[in-house]
Amino acid sequence: MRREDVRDEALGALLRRAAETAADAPGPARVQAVRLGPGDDGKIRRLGPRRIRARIAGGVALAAGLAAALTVPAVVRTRADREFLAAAAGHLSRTLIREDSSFLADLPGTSYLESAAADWAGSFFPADADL
Amino acid sequence: MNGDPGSAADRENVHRWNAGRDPEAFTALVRRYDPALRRVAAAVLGSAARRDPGLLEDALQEGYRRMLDALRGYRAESEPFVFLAGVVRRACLDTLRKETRARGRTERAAAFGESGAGESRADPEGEAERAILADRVLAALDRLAEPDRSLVYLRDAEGASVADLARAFRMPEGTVKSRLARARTRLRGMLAEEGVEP
Repeated sequence: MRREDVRDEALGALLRRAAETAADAPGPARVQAVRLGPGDDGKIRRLGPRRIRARIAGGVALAAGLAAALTVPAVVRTRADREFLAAAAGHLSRTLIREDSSFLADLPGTSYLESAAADWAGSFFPADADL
Repeated sequence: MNGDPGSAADRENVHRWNAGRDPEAFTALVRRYDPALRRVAAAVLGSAARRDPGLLEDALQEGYRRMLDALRGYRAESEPFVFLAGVVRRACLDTLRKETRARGRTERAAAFGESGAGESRADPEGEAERAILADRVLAALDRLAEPDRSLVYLRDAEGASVADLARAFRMPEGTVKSRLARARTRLRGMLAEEGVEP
């Protein structure tokens, strides 16, 4: 391997480690550690209500987008398909909103996120009896 | 991600999503690429994500939402990861622009006013040391302008091919290579200023 390639590889490894560290779910220790620097007071930052509302709305919109993509074929879908969709929406909510994040853990009624996403997805599909 | 044996399955998942809007296919893509796309978001957002870790979650969420439709534009000749990273990158840049507008002068002034407080870097835990190193590396990366920041990160840290980057960024391969060379030189200089030697 050329010396230049070795140097590029080392640079890439450094960048990747840095991005990995920064991309970790922002638990209290992570946030505190990252914020220990000039301009930081060591306090753990909490999300404001506006940000939380935006996060919920974003999660629901994502689940809705996924559900809306299936609106037309929904009439011929089986219950299993619909259940899968609800599960996928729930999974996405959990993955993207990170229910285990510290700011959500402190919120009452966190399960609203998942249920709202699943409800929204479910609302696109009538019950079996209506098909 | 380049040359990854999973890429064929990923292409198939993109195809299944585009052809039949199969939620399982989309979820599989999200599951597989979430860790890597998180890193991409962290690299693109740079110091803004360090200031406000919630920003990364917002940008990533927006990226996934856009992906629902953007996947239609995927051409199978490039790695799915590079395409997805491009969608997340654009979402990050838009989120960053929005965030910059939203941050009032007062908040910025207050942040500057706090400079010097809490200088307790001597945390004995390795995690804190890694965080501080990450802080410095991302601060240096932050000083590279786009698209060079994304190009150098995707090429060197995530192993994207020059050909895929050329397609994703709509520029000739020669331009990608010359931009990469310049960006690496600048980045090494800035890392040295931050006291970091790769």
